[in-house]
Amino acid sequence: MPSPPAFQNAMSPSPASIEHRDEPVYGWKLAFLVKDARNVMFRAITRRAFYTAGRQRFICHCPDGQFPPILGAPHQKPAVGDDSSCGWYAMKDKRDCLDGYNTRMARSPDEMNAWLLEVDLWGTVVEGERGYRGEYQRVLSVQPAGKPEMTITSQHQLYLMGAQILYRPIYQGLMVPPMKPALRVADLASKLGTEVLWSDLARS
Amino acid sequence: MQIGEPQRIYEIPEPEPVPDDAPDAHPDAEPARVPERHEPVPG
Repeated sequence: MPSPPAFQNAMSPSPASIEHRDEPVYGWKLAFLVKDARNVMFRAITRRAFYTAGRQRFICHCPDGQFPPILGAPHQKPAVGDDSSCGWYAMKDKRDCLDGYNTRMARSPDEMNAWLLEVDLWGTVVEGERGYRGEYQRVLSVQPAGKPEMTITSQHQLYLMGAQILYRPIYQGLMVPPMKPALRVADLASKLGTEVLWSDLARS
Repeated sequence: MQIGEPQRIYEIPEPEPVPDDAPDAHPDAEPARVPERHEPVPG
């Protein structure tokens, strides 16, 4: 049985364990869209963090084992260690990302407005078996996480909730009301500052 | 989001910014025409 990598038990990666790479790593993640009067932003699925599409640095608050606990000094970058989980997360595989979300359909409806984000990560990046967590993130494109052709009621509902940013229901006493466009895709892309892949739904 | 056990750590430089979506000029488009000095200026 191979021994674990030397960095696996360290609180911070030693320079010898870091590989240099020219291109950002690329992955998929889920997020909610939130909007106020002026802006549309992303909200992380598992924690209350908000971000926009452009270059974002992860602000880390994990304690750094290189300092005495009383100092409580956070490390500055994603690190490898028992209590380190910081960084922008992304999965390597798109389907893996979507399936992970579909197993958690018990969430309340207002939290089901999930979107699929295509991102790249750079800076200090920790690679796991199924994904990455990185120091910097940029959103390359966004699309609804649901699929319109789904016949399963809950997943159809997921699609409708994902569409609510773009479409408003016209209530006519129907179970599934028709949707009226409320915001053009181009306008949403402009507000988010990234590409919106709306027409790709039927193929994804 | 479960990404599994750490396997590697990378140090990656900042990438080039994403180019704007402004369409490029059509390759067959005529260049902008600058009137020559001897042409009459329309009134």
